[in-house]
Amino acid sequence: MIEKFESKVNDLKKKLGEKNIYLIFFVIFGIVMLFSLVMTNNYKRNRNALMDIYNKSMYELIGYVENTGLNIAKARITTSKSLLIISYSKIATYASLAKSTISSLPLEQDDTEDISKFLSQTSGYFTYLVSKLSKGEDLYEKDIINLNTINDKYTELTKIFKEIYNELCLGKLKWDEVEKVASKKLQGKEIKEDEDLKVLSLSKPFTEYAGLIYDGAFSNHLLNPTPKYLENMKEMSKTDCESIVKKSVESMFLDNKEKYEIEEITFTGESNGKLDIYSYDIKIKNIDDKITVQITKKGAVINLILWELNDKDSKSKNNTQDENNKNVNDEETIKQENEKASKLANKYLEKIGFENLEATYYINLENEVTINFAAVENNVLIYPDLIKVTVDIDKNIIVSIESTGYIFNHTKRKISKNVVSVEEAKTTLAKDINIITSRLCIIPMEDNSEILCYEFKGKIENNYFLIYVNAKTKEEENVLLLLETKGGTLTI
Amino acid sequence: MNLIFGQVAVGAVVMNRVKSPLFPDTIAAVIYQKGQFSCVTDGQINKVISANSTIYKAAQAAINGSDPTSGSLFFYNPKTSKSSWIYTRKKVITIGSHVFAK
Repeated sequence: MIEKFESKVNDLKKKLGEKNIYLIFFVIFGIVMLFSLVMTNNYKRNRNALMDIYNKSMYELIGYVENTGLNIAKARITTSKSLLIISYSKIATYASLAKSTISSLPLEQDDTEDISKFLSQTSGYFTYLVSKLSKGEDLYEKDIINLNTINDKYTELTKIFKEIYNELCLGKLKWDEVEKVASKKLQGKEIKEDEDLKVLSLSKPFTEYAGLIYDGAFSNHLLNPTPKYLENMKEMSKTDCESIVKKSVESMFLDNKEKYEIEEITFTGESNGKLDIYSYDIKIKNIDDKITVQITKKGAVINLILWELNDKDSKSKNNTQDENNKNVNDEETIKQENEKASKLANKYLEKIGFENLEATYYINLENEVTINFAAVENNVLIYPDLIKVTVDIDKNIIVSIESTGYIFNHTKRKISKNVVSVEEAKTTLAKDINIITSRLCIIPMEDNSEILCYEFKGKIENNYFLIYVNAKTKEEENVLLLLETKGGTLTI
Repeated sequence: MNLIFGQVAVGAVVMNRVKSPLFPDTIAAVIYQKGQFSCVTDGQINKVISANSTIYKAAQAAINGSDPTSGSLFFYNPKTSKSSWIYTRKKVITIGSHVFAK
């Protein structure tokens, strides 16, 4: 090998002359050196830029946490309700900012989970307090207890952040080390005393933090809700579930029973997560399609079915042309497609035992229409009881169903007849709204509670709105903007 | 194995994390959180999506609330996972070659 190289070099020497060959080598060597210098410089510069971003995020985090703590301390001695509302809003904002800043730091999920939960609950809790005070209500005793818990935790947190701040100022917070120690922990290796960096102990104050319960976002009681629809149902055997799975999948074929037939149903496992379910894989005869079904153990209620269509023709047609096609299709066509899909979906839902549902929103994309169905009781639309069905309007089959909202929320509700009249409710609306429709409905709030409201669909200038007016107190509970997008109507 | 089912499952984990107080509150922050998704760390996320991909439908289904993972927040491939910490999480369901956990 070396001999071959030597002989080649000697050949070149003869061809070009000795001086020239050394010149060429020198130039090549110089280029390589320059190249590595430039690359190393770039690397160092990028690394510094990244460290600067981490340091900036750390300074910001320290600032947000400190501001939250200061405002909490101030709020404790404030008595004026209006000033409290401002203070609590500030606290909620700072806590939320602190939480989002944490995700900019190179810290492992394990070290940030607990503090993230605490900051989320702080933000959610103070938002709930603001909404309470705005309605003129007073704080309950349990609210005061929650406030004290939060205050105590912030005192501990502030101490840790002071130490981190000192490290940062003295240049002792090296992010390289943080990343090394963090990945060591992740691999389950032992950490030495001096390697235990302050910034990795952000979650220490929260080892005994049980969490807060309040009527707002991220509250403890929302983290593990119980499925109301399944409450009085019995746990079913695998065989019972399997026969219901078979019937539910066959119903998806609608009037295409000649084209589709189940070849095999395979039980693929069970899971005990938010819902306790059995999973099944279904193979269709003669084609490559697969259907996966998840059915609840209690009551054998279909939770999720996804049909993976392996039809290559329909896919290529859709992906190259859909942009142009849908612009040509006018509103009328989309409306007809949605209605057709809705009828098919309703037929399917009745077959598998979901009754009294009404279509509310449509998403129309390519050849599939997804319809949101909500339960109806005494002509009141119950939004939390949600089932989504997707229909393939070319093949006229159901391709998916998702019923988590329905399973968690559906019960027979004792809907109060003691409500204000539609006319009275209208008086709270802005004067220049052009009201198009109105109906009674039940809407979910952020803390999963429900309110009976009048839903008014109205138009101001060129914008469509949905306004929800509490049917008992006439208070405006929510306002949603209706945005028309390519696929359907978005409520925001 | 139903491919779109696995894709919806991964999408559902992202959505579950957004809803959870333990993780960042936006889809972008959850996806780009350092070290959480290997396809982000190694740049695969920036690749062009192929024409016949089921990814868009899977993503839409996940956003619509389809959750085959029953509330899971983590997933890993037991054959290739390098982290011993992830095994401490409670297992919920196995879909394809991945275990989903809380």
